[in-house]
Amino acid sequence: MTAKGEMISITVTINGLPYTAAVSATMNLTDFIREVANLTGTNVGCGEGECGACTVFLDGSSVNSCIVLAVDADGKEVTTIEGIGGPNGDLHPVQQAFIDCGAIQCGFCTPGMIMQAIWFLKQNPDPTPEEVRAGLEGNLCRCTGYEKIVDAVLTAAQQMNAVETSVR
Amino acid sequence: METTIAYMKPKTVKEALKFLQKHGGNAKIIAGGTDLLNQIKKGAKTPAALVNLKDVEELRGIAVTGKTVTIGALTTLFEIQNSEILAEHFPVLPYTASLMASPQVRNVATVGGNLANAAPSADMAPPLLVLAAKVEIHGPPKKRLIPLADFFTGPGETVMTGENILTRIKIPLMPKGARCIYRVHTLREAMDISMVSVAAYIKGRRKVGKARVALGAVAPVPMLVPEAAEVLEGQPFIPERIIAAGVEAREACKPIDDVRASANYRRHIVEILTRRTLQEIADGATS
Ligand SMILES: Cc1cc2nc3c(=O)[nH]c(=O)nc-3n(C[C@H](O)[C@H](O)[C@H](O)COP(=O)(O)OP(=O)(O)OC[C@H]3O[C@@H](n4cnc5c(N)ncnc54)[C@H](O)[C@@H]3O)c2cc1C
Ligand code: FES
Ligand code: FES
Repeated sequence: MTAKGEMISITVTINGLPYTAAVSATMNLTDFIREVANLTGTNVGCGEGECGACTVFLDGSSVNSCIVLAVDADGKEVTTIEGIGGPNGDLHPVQQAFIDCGAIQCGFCTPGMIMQAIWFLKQNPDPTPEEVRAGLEGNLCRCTGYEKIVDAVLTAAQQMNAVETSVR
Repeated sequence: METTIAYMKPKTVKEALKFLQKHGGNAKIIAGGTDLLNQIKKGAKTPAALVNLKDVEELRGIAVTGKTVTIGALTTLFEIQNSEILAEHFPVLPYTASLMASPQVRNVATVGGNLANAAPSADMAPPLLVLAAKVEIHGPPKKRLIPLADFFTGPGETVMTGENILTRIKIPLMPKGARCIYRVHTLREAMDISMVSVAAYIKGRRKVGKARVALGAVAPVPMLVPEAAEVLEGQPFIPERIIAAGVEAREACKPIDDVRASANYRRHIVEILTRRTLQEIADGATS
């Protein structure tokens, strides 16, 4: 894929659906998600990689979509907050735990926080509270004071581990 | 910030070099983009073209060959943090990566980008300096392998031109009985740029054979302090020598006043953090 001062045609699969558009080399992935795919659950707080509000998965890794180029997602799979629930609109266990634990106030940080929590629990399914804090260090919340967010992630971990054991 | 600029995603170093040459230094390499995209957004960098290195597979990975560990420039901080090879040979490097930025940033940020960006506070630099790492550079005038100690020339500046690519980092295996650790002083625990950082390498337990001390964030470039090493080498590893090394580090650093701290405060911290870091090695710390 080469272009000389031109728009570059890319196809990004977001939550299982392909989106094709011609973009500039400097367009960031958040803009592609919000403006091309019209998925507005991915928020923009700082636009500099500091706050985590724009966290999505790129081929399964959590990234700050505001400092990833859209062209870097060409041919890849992106998962956003809209893509983590079950097929019937069921909530993901981490989403449910955020509601149950009161870990949401204004909600601005929530999509990014939940995406990062899901990725973190994949790396570390049975974390300590300290490990949860470290896992979410790139996600800022101006409202909750973090306590309930940590509770929610620990609760989700317990529930997910319990389900896994009963399936086994 | 959106402008249409030329763009290329080469598969080999050779292709990338051709494109860089064609743009005569006005093209910018992008690796993870965690430094560069913010610089473009702020208007600090206005490249005419981007060369995206992400498909250059030869620049990825960590391998041991003979007495050298090679780290590809495109290796991410996440990969460094989780590398079994590094955990075995240089535990200080996974530890350092784990201190940097956030998990999301570490998933994309590269070690090559950290060095090439040449921030005085680049966290990978001090440990790699004391490990006597070398960097391999491709492009005009020719492919070369130079000590990392000769790589940085100023804030954001290195010996590389816009037509060069940092390809690999090569680190000699540590001899038996050598230890290397890295310590940072920050205002906050999470997501903070180091105010002062110290890396130290010591061979020998009761008596110091070889010593290296490096400082970050307290001079225009991450720097080795040979004066601090000199007061340690050939001497018993005791508090008096450690205190003397701290004084040498303080004398050698060239800090500035900035938003994170005043120059005077930084000098003071350099002395104390150098002393503590060395004492920790004396007490048996290994990363
Ligand atoms: C929120 C946040 C927190 C951060 N925290 C830290 C921290 O704690 N410690 C720290 O040290 N840094 C930190 N950084 C800075 C940054 O993430 C690191 O420096 C990172 O390693 C840069 O790598 P990159 O691949 O993203 O570089 P890029 O942004 O892709 O490139 C950086 C520069 O190096 C050049 N370059 C990249 N690769 C090569 C190559 N192979 N050859 C030649 N030139 C090249 C580019 O042209 C560019 O000028 C942070 C950044 C953010 C956004
Ligand atoms: S908006 Fe991307 S990290 Fe803040
Ligand atoms: S709930 Fe408001 S920012 Fe987190």
